[in-house]
Amino acid sequence: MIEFHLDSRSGVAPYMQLIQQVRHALRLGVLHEGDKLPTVKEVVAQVAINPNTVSKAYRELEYEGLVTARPGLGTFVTRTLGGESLDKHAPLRESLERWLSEAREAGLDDESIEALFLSTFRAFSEARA
Amino acid sequence: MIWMSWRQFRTPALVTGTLVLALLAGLALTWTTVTGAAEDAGYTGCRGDACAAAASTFLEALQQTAASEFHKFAIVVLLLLPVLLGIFWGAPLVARELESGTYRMVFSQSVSRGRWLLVKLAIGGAAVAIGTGLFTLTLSRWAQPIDSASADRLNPLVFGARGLVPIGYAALAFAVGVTAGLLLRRTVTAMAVTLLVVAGIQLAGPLLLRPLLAEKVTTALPLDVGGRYGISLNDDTKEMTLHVEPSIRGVWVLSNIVVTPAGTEFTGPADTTLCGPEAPDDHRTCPDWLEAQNLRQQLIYIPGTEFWPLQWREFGLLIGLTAAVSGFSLWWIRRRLA
Amino acid sequence: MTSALTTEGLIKKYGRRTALRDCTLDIPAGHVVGLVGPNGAGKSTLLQLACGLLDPTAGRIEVLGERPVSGSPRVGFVAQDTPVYASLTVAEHLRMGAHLNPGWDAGLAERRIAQVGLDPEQKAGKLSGGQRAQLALTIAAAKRPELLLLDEPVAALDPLARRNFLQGLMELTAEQGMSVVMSSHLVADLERVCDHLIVLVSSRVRVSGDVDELLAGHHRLVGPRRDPAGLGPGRSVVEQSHTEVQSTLVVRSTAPIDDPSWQVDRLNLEDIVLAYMSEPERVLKGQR
Repeated sequence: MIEFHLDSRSGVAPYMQLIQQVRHALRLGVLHEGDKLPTVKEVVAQVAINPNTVSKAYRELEYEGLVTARPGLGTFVTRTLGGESLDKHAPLRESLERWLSEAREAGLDDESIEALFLSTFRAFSEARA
Repeated sequence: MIWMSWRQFRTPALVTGTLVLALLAGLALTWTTVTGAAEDAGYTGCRGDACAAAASTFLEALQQTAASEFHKFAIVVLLLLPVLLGIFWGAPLVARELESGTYRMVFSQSVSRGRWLLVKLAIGGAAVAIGTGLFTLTLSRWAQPIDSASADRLNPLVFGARGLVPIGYAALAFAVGVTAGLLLRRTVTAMAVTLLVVAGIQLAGPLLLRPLLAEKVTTALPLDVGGRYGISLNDDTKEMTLHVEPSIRGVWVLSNIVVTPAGTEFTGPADTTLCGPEAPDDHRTCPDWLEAQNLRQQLIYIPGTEFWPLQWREFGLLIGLTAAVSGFSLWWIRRRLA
Repeated sequence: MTSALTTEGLIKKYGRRTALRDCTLDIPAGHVVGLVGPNGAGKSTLLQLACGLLDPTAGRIEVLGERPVSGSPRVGFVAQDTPVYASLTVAEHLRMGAHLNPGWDAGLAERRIAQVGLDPEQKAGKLSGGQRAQLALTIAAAKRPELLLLDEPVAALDPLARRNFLQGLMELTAEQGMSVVMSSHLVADLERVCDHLIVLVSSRVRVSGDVDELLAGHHRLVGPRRDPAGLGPGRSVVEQSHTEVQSTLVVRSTAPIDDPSWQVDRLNLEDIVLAYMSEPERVLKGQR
């Protein structure tokens, strides 16, 4: 069973942190298909956060298709993310490295590169949603 | 709520209960001394004129014993009991909860404030009545020979330690203590105020109230200066006041004045050659002269037969006051707390 | 959705001192509500009015649809400094709860006491502050109230005791589905635990709302010095400070700020609360 923790200074909303931690556990192979997530009561007893926050996170994960809630039994993992190791995406990594070199040559410093990437990524995600 | 009241009340109840039991034990131990002295003096079962002499012999013999000291002690305790119960049982009952803040916890349980106070008053009140009642009724029974020999039951110092009246004062003192704690919200202040109020009540009762409750008898007797008498004389104005001890026994004298045939109080003028510093030394001229003045002794008194009617009336009044004070505190706690 | 606590123009005065003025709130049920503000702001007064320990001077207050009355089985209360009966043991406190509450859940009470590690035979006067707080919480929660009111329950506790208390409280909330209104002047605790926030300053309600909405609706704007009146409709300035060249504003707005001359930052809950607390006696329009 995984354990959650909360970083109150990260600026990321608590429910989002829980989602990220589940995704991370899936990616690393700590959680497998069919594993049971801690109940809402167990999570709040551990982490001292609002139960609604946990419910919200679990609902979001269910919406993404990563978990499913079985009434009376709990919340279970339906699929993993770890199967696809990042090594499979070498072409993507190389094209990203090329883009980074171009950005450096254009004169952008680290913070500008990060800002450019994040704003484009956000706009891209929002357009998709 | 009953369990809670008892649990909080446990220690003071047990302490007081132990003391009452100790006093009852003392009464039990000294019982034979009293009955023995009464028999030896021939007082038990005496008839008619012999009784007066036997009674004095009995009382004098008793004076020497520890039983007599214990009797005085028991009376003092019984007269003080209302004040002590008011201060140590009544005042902290509500005040301590308000002062320590525990009222915030207990009043958020599922019991209304009114019921909370009612149960506490009922349990405390019952304990007061039972404890005081046991003590006073046992003492009254124990002192029966003494009371009938000395015929002094209406004396305020004795009356307040016999029969039902102590129960009334104790119950009222308890209710006053609880109400003081509720109004003042501080235990020590409430104890001080309770002390003053209850002491006031215990003084006002016999002095102001009791005479109003009884059937008084007014009578004028021919003046008999053969008994004890006292004179105070003003040399310049020749004014004198005369005080003569009444010869009736077993009554509570409220007023004792010497009156002239016209009905007004006798103030002289004195014949200083017969009464006073210039009179002869044999002390006979003054009484003779006084008797020749045709004076009468006017007494207002409460006869001994009034003992039980007076007990019941005073007890009833005190219980009525207790109910009124308790009712007020129940109303107050519902209405406001902070 | 039913309302846990509704007030309208609620006023409480002690003699000449006004502890709470013109308080109008509508708190929905099923939430954990934080009541935050500086000392003396009226938080304690509001909570005691809600559980019937105080009577209002004027205005209306309803708790779970009824007028508040002390001794209600539907409302639990944990008072400031968590008073307990010093000479009663922990077990006797639970017995008191069982005798005085028809809805008492003895199993829950005993489980919690064991979980927290309290010795039932220990006299309550000898407990540490954290243990007393856990005992008071157990007693208030084991009567299974629909609404639990807590008056600064963690103020005097060390960080570990605070964390344990909040964990226990959240566990009870998850288990029983009860509404919670908790006052504190430590915003960091409230941020993780509450999903609804009320800010009370100088006896007035400054802002009341869902935490996510508050976080989404408040931003810090930094830009060249200018008059904030030019911001436009639907935007109110909560706090402002100006230097000769720069203006810094905390703004509440329903619409996004799309003026590029402003640098727009998100705020955390503590920043938002501080912004409201620093403003003097100004009633902000449309903030309720």
